[in-house]
Amino acid sequence: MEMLTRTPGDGKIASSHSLAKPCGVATCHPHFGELLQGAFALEKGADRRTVRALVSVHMPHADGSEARATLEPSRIGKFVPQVGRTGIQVIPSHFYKCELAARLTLDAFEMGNMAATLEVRTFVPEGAGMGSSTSGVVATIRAIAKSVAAYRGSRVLMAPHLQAKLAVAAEHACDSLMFDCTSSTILFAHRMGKVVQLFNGPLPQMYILGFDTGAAQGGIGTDRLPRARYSRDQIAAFGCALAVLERAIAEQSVALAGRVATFSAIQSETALQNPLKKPKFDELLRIKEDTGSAGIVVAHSGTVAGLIFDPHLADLRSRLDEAKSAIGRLGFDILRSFSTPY
Amino acid sequence: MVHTLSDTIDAHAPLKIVSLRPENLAAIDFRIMKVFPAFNIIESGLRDGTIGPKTTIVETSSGTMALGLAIVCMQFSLKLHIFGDRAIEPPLRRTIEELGAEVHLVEATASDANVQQLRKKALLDFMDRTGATWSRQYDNLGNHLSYARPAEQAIRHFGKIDILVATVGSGGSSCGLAHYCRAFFPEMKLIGIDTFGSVLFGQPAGRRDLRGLGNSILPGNLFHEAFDEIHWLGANEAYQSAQRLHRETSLRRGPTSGAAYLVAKWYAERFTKSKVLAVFPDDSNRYEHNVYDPTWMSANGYQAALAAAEPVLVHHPLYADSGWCRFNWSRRSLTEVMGDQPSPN
Repeated sequence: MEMLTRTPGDGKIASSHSLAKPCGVATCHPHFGELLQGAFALEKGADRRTVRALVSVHMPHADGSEARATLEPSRIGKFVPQVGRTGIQVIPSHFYKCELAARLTLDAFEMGNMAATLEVRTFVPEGAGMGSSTSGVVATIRAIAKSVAAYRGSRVLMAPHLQAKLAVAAEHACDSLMFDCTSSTILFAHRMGKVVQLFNGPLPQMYILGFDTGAAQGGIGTDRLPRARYSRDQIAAFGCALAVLERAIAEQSVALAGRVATFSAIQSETALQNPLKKPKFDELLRIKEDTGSAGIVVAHSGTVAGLIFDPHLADLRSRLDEAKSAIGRLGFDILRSFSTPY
Repeated sequence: MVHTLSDTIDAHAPLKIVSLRPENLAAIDFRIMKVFPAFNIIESGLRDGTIGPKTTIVETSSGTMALGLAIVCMQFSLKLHIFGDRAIEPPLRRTIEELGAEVHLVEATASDANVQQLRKKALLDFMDRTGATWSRQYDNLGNHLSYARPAEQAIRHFGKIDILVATVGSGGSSCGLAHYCRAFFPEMKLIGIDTFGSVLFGQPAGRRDLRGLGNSILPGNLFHEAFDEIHWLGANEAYQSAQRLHRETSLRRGPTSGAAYLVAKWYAERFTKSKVLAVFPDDSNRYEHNVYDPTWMSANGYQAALAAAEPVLVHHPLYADSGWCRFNWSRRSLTEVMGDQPSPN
C-alpha cells in the first residue's frame, strides 16, 4: 500500500505532524479502462453464479487522487454513513462518495463518533473511465487510516481487501486500484468488492497509447450508466477469456493479453442490452491491425481507449508515431502513453 | 444435485488435453463428448421451462448422443426414448436401457442412405402419440454453447490454437469449439472431417460404412462458412488410424478419434510452427469386437495396406470419391461451393 507524504514544495497537499490535529495524506493511482470486463459463470461450491467482474489496466506511474484527512476529536457526535450526516466536511463538497468512504472507514476503526475534515484532489478527468471516483475513494480510505494511526500513535494496517470492502460500500461499484498490480493479476467483482480469481503473476509489461474517444461529449456519468447485459453466448465466451488471460500471464505474452483486451472491447460494443459503443470503433480496429498493435483496451464505463503495444517491438517508435497520427485523423485527443503494470 | 451432476459429467468426460507427437500436436480427449451437449440442452430446457420434471425426452441417435442423453436424463430423473438404428448394438443398447431409457430401432441397416429420415419419422410419430419433447441435437443452439468449457480448457492447457481438426456430425463440436476459440484467434483454421456419402459438405447421400461422423441430413448447427478445409475419409482409413493411435500413443479410442488423429497429424507434420488441436470424441468401448478385432477387420476387407496414407486434393466435393480426399472450402457457404463448376483437373 502506497502512503506517500508530499512536501509543500511540490504544490500538493502537505502532511502535518505531531502537535497538530491527527492527520493523514495518501494517494491512489488511476487506471486506464479494463483489459477485461464482463459477466463470468463461476462455480462456487454447489451452485454456479454469474458474477460481474473486471481486470483493471493500472497506471501505477500516474497521479490519480490525493486525499488529506484530519480528525476532529473535539467535534464528537452521532454520525451515520449518509451524505450530510457523516460528520465529515469534504472539499470539494460534491465528493460525496469520499465523504461516505471516510465515515465508513472511521466506523470500521470503531470511531463512529469521530468527525473529520477531508480534502481530495483528483488529477484524472471524471467520466473518462480512469477511476477518478475510485482513486479518490481509495486515497480517502488510506488517508483516514493514516490519520487514525497518527491519532493512536501506532501503525494501522489497511489490507487491500478491506479497502475494497469499504470502497464498494461507499460507491456501490469500484475498480481494483487498491490491489497491487505488479506481483499478481486479479479478477475483481466490482459490485461485490471481492477478488474472485487470482492469477499467478502480473500482466505482461505493455506499452499503451491512450486517447479519449469522447472528450467532446464531456465524459460519461458512470453512476447513471445502465449495466450492460450479456447473452449466454457472451457469458460462455468470457469464461474462455479467463483461459487466454491465464496463458498471457503464464507466457508473459503481450500478444495474448492484447487478444483478451480486443475481445472484451468487442463485447462492450455488442452487449445484448446497453452496449457502450465507442465512436469509430471499426476504424480503431483497423488502426490496430495496420500498426501492429497487440490489442485495443477500452473503458467499459467511460470514454478512453488505448492501443496496446509490445514494448520490445523493434520498431516501436515508428509504429507509435503511425498510430498517433491515424488516431489524430479520427479526431480523438491523444492523452498519454504509459507502461503497465509496471 | 447440480454439483453431483457436474461431477458425473467430469467423470464421463474429464476434458483432458493430451500432448502428442509431433510436439505441436495435442488432442482434446473427450471419451464421451456428447454428455456436454446432452447436459446443456436438458439443463437449459429445465431452466427456461420447456422441459419440466415430468417431460419425456426423445432424440434420434446412432450411439453416443443416446448415451450422453441417457446419462444426463438419468441424473435429472427424466424419461428418455431413443430412436436409433442397428448401429446401436446390443451392449450399448443394454447400457442405455440400464440407465432407464427406452431404445427403439428402425428397420434399416446402419449404412442405409436414408437412415436419418427413418429414425426421424419414427420419432415424430411417437411425439404425435405422446407429446414428448425432442431435444434436437442437430438444431439446438445450446449444442454450440456446450463447447465453451471444452474450448476454455483447451486454451488453458495448449495456449493459442492455430489449426483445429474436428470430425463433423451435428456441427455442434466443430462449429462450437471454433466459435469460442475464434473469439480470440479469428485466424484459426478449422479443418472438418467428413466421410464419403455424407451430405454435410456437398456429397449426395449414399451408403456410409464409417459412422460417428457425417450425416444424411443437414443439421442447423452446421455453419459451413466456419470451415477452411474439408477432408473426406473412408472407413478403412479411420479404422487403421484408430489402431495406429493406440499403437503410437497408447490411447485406445474409436474411429472418429482415429480420423481426427490421422488428419491432425498430417497438418502438424506439415506446419511445424502451427499448434494443431485434434478433437477425440469417442472411446473404444463400441469397437473392441470390430475395429480392434483383426478377424473382423480382415473378414470385412479392411487392410492396412489399402488405406490411403496421403490426402488427394480435389477441386470440388463431388470429386471426392474414396480413400482420403481434401478440399479447400475457404469459409464459403454450401451454395457458394456447390455453385462453383468443378474444373476437370
